[in-house]
Amino acid sequence: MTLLKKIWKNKSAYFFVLPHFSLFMIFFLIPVGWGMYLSLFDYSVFSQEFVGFENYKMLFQDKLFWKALGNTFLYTFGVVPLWLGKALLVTVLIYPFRKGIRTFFKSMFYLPHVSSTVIIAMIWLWVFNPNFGLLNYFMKSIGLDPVVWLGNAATAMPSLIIMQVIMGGGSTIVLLSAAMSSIPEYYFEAAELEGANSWQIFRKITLPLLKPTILYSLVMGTIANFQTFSNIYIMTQGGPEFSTLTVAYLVYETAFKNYYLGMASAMSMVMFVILVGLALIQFKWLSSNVEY
Amino acid sequence: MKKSLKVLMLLFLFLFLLTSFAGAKMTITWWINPWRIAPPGFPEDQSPGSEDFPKWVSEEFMKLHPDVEVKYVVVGNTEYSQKMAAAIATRTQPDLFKGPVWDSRWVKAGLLEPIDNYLTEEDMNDFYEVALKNFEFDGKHYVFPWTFGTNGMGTSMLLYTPDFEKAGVDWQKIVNEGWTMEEFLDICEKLTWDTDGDGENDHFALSFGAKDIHNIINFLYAFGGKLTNEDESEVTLDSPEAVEGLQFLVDLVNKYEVVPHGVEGMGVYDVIGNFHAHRTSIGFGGPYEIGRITRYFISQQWEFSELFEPVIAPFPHVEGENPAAYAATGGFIVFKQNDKEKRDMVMEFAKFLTNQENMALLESLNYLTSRKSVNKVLYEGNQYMKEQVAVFGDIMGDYGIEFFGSQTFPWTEMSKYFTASMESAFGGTKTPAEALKYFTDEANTILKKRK
Repeated sequence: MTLLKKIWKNKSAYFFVLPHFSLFMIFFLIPVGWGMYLSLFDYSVFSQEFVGFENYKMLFQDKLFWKALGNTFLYTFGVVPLWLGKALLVTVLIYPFRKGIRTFFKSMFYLPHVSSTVIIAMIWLWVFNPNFGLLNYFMKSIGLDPVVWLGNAATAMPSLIIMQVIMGGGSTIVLLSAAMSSIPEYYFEAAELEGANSWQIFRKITLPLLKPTILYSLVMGTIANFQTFSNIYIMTQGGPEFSTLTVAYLVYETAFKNYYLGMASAMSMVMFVILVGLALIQFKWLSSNVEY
Repeated sequence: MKKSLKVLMLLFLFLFLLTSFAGAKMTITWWINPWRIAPPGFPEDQSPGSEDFPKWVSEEFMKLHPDVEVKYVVVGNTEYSQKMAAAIATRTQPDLFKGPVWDSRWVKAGLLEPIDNYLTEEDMNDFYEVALKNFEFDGKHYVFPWTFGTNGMGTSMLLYTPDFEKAGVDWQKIVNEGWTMEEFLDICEKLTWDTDGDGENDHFALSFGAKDIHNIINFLYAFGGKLTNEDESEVTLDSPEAVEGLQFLVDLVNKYEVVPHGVEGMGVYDVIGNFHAHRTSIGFGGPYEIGRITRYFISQQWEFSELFEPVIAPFPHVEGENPAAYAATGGFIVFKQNDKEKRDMVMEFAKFLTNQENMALLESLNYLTSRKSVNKVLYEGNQYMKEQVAVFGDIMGDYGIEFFGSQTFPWTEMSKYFTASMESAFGGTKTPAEALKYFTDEANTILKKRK
């Protein structure tokens, strides 16, 4: 059967997929393809000249790009494990409660997820304010010296990571709770009858059976945090001394402040390749068939 | 019968198209960043929004030209550059714009219309020379001047006089005669005190933010530093004079403790907030910043204990030298028009926006205008503002210079390195000399690339 015949045979299925695929093509595939194309040009709003891989060559010689890449990895690998760990811990802690209490906690943790990032960032700016912020107020009240949280190259990135860990993870808690509810109850009962303690139950039953959801959260979380932009844009603009400069923020600066769209596209392509690579590693590492 | 019906329908269609085209209005699209100007008749007890002025002025122009439809778009300051970049890249730029973003490369790329043919002799004489000169390329002008001076950051200081009186400092003398760096330091020490009696100073003379470039760079210029050499072929801000200026600022924080710590983590709005909340006695800015106090007070933004009227004073100067003041102007730019009739109408609209009556509306924002004739009649009946505007005008006129190079100088690309160097100097990770050397090296690399 030729390909065309196969498509014709399944035409109804393709017909239903078509609207989504059209949008996916218009808003994702074409822009990605166009980005690849632009990355081969010295493309600004004023001139367009084909330069081959020159943008990539310049990019890998740019100290600031390497700094941004390092910061992005630091941010992502700082946020994702802590945030996933927090989500897992909260899920396990609220699981034994009645449905109503569980829903209450899930809603509370989900709330930041549906709040404006800008507003959250503005509130945290006040929390971190060096002179009149909440955090330094507590520091002073326990006799410690105030810290310029977002102005010190050593504390700025950890501050952003902690903020993200505290505010994030709501959707993962909802996902993990749903996954945990679908684990058959008799697994836990059997383990208890066999004399397993809570830690053994968590390690030998809960964790392995949550693996597919954890993998999904890990991949999505890595992708989302690798592209972090709004927090940086509002709170630090990449400073101090570029210690919070991320690739996504550098792309924005290069494209929309300096108008080097070709170079910005090349940066985006590098980010794209890294993310695909990370996702593949995570799938390879964590994927295993789970049946119950 | 069928044939005649077809003919009749075609005729009807033709007439319909004809009338449609005859009735079609010429559309002018313009972009403006948020300018909260009060149009004529706006209630005094309310604070104008960013839409009020563009809406009013567009409607007024349409009344004069019923065959024209004027569409305005208010674009926020932060998203202006990306929207404009996207618009230019997709050839959907507005006909006219006034924004915080301006790039001389637009002229080189042939995107803008020169306006010389639309400026009268009277206009040329009425606009300040610097306002026209700032946007001149190869002998042609590209901007209809509108504002004279910016919000005054880097141009002048604001003094909260009750604090000066409390400290026994003659602020009138500062306004009239200026102050040397030594006098400034001495006064700053008098303006720093412990309000709540816990043994720690919580009220300071002034504050700085590493991201607040204009006010910091003023001191570097005041000590004799310069961004570039004469022909802008080299960045020279690591000169001993500039280093001395930065060292003075760092000492204000660490040695004299008249500026609160945390400069490396603050921006201009932190500095403004400190002044508004009376945590500092010296603020920055010109008449516009005085207007901000009133505006914020009416709209109950930030922490205000009272509506107050600071006075404008020059930045301090080195003994025997002049103070430095940042001078910049702004105006309306016309994008390339292929149709002559439309070009004339867009120019007409730009002239309408910058005529004497409409330019005078800037008074509600406490901005000086680019027309000498208008500035003469501003603030009649408001002695306080008249005095402040006069002082600001004198500072601009006597000491005003461009801090960031000519329009073709790639300051935008360099500015992030300047901010980083200030963060390192105030954060203590680099000495002032090392910080400025770092900036200068990076800036010169960019300059070489551009060439």
